[in-house]
This record gives sequence, C-alpha cells and structure tokens, in this order.
Amino acid sequence: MNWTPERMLARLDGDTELAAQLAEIFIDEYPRMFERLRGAVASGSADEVRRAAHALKGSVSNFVDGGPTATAFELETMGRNGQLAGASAVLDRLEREIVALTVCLQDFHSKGTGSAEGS
Amino acid sequence: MIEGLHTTRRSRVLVADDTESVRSLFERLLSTDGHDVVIAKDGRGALDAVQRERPDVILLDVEMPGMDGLEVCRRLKADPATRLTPVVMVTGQTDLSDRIRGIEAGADEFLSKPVHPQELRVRVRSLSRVKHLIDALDSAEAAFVTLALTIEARDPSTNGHCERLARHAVRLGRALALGSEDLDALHRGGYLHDVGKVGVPDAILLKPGPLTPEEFALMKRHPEIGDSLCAPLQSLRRVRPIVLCHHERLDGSGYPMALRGDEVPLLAQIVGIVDVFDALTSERPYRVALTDEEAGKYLLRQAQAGKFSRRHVEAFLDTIGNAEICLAS
Repeated sequence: MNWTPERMLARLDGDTELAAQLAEIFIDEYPRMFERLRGAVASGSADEVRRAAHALKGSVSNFVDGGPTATAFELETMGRNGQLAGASAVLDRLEREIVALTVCLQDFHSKGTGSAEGS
Repeated sequence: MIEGLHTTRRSRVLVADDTESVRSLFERLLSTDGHDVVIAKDGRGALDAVQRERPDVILLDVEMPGMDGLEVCRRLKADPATRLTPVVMVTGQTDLSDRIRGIEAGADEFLSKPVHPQELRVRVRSLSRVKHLIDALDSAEAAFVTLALTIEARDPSTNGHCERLARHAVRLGRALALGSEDLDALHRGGYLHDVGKVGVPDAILLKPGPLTPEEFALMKRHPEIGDSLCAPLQSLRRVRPIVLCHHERLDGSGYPMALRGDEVPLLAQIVGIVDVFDALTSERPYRVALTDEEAGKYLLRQAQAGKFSRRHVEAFLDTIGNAEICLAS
C-alpha cells in the first residue's frame, strides 16, 4: 500500500486537522461499510456489492490511491458486471488492506502529523 | 447597477452524500472557503434541504440510498424554481456511464472522487458566481414584472389583466402544442406585454373617452418603449417579440411596424388574440363588459377580416369552452 502521511496531506491541501478528523471518522465508519459489503457478497447480490463497494471506495480514496481503493473498485466492477465469482477472496484482501490502513491512520491520528510510513 | 454582477456574497452550498467522511471533507473545505454548508445524507434529504435552504450550488453524490443523485438532479432541473441552480455530480473517476447519465439528467458540472480540494473550491466558487448573476437577472426581471403590475394598477379598469393574459396565452400556446420555452415566454409576455405604457402619460392612459389622433400616436409608441426597456436583459430575449409585436395584425393594419402574415411572430399573434379578448370581456368606464360569447364572435369576425389566424382564434375559443361559437358562425 502506498500510504504515507505526506501523500495523504497532499491530497487534503496540507490540512493536518482535517486529515485527523477524516481519519477518526473513517475508523468509526468503515466497519459498518465493510459489513454491508460482506453481507452483499455473502448474499450474492451483485448490485448491492456494486453500491457498497462504491461507497467504501469513496471513503477510503480520501487517504490512498491504490491498495484498498483499487481493491474496492475491483469489487465494484465485479458487482457492476454481475460476476461475483472470486469476490470472497477479493473481499478478504480488501479487509487486510483496510486494517493496515487503519493502523496507519490510528497512528497518524494519535501523533498529529505523525511519521508513520505505510506498509 | 444590478447588485450581484460586481459584488460577491456568501454562498450556501448543499452537500448530499451518504458517506460521512466525504460529507465532512466537503463541509470542511467549503466552510473554510467562506461558504455556508448544508448537509443531506440521502436523495430525499437533499430535495427537502433544497426546498428549505435554497442553496446556491448543489453537490450530489450519484450513489445514495433510496433516491440516487441522478434522480434528484432530474427533479431539480424539472422544477422551474430550482432548474437554474447549478448542480455538480460527484462521481467515481472511472464512472463514464455515471457522467453520461449525469449529463442526461441535466447536471452542470462533474467532480471525480477523490476530490482535489483546490478543484472543489474553484468549481464551487465559479458556480456560485454564475448563480449570483442568475439571481441578479432574476431580480431585474422581477422588477420589470412589478413595474408592469404597477402600470396595470394605474388603471383600475384593467385590474388582473396581466395575470389573465398570461393564463389565457399559455392555454392557447398549449393548445397549439408549443414547447415549454415558448409557453414560458407566453407566461412572462402576458405580464410584460404592456410594460412600455410606463412612457404613456396618465392623461392618455386613463382617458375615459376616445383618444385624439395625437394621443393615439403617443399610445402606439408603447410597444417600442417596452421593447427598448427589455432589450438589455438577455433573459427576456424570447419575450421581446411579444412586447414589440402584440398589436401587429396579419393584414398589416397593426402597429408599430405594420407587419403582415408570418412576419408577425407567432407568440405575439397569440398574445394579440387573448389581449383583445380580455379587453372586450372587461368592463371599461365607457362600456360594459362583453360576454365570452360576444367577444368570441368579435374575434372570429376579426379573423374573417384577416387580422388574426382563424385557426388560432378557434383554438383559443376551444380552450375557454366556447367551441360552439365556431360551429355557429
């Protein structure tokens, strides 16, 4: 994953306070968004997978270009195409990437500007 | 100077997105740029907020639960009260189909997620300026309508004339299957057609008896005065032919240019017919009001004499439930 505090801040106009606020909101909101996506994959509802992945992608893209943003887009595309074969594996990968991101964000949030480097 | 053309004012921006982090990001970026930010969490909430808060710029996420952003956009653009409010659709970077559907729904601009702060600020600033200009022109047009109603109020015998004219003209326009832009022009033309009477002295406008030739010559100047008053307003360009030509007649007997046949703009022909009808069916100091039937017969005779289109007159009489006059005549 290519997350660094510097890259994130560059996306947010260098606004450290905003970055910390968004990190806090994301850490709070992503479990619900992820559970919605997990439920959609489990039920095999392609359209709901598309919607839930799209929402998660919008949220995570505030912090990082590739990694979980790209993976969420992959699931969104699978949902759009109605092709959910292999979606569970992609979902697991997305979960790992998001957990890694939240560790970075938590670190950033607790240290202010922080110096945590992404994995 | 029209207020708003050269001044900046605080804008109200509606952000509609079902993701809290996105709402917070936009709210922060826009409020630090001096805007008042209103938040909605879904499509229905966005429509309610538009009704309540009258935002200057609207940012809509495409994907929202219940009613999506595209449907919200369609509804806003179909409503005359909100159709000129700039709408920005916020889409994923790769969602070309969303953009195409957004264009079809009437969106004015697009922003891709993740939104770059500077791009968001510049877009919203630019659209706010556009909205303020629209509001300023709206105010100018509202002032014109007020002026027209003030002129109407100078003559108590014409009370309600503008409103009735607007209503009748739109009805006839609809009966002739005209499009929405023409119907809109007819509605506004109904109110503004006599705005040039501001240049006609009370002594002539309110004279209870017939006018002398000199007085009538002055009275006949009102279409051109009205047209020159409306000329600076781009938003009135479709209304101007009505203001200038509603006293023209197909046989060339009208004024101010004695146009003939198709030279008389269609919308002006329509307002000309309903203007005569309303004048005849309203009481004047020097005569009682004619009945709808009597006025209808008069219009048919005028059509017979080549002053109006018989088809238009018949269509009008049909709209007011007097089709039997046509059959009888």
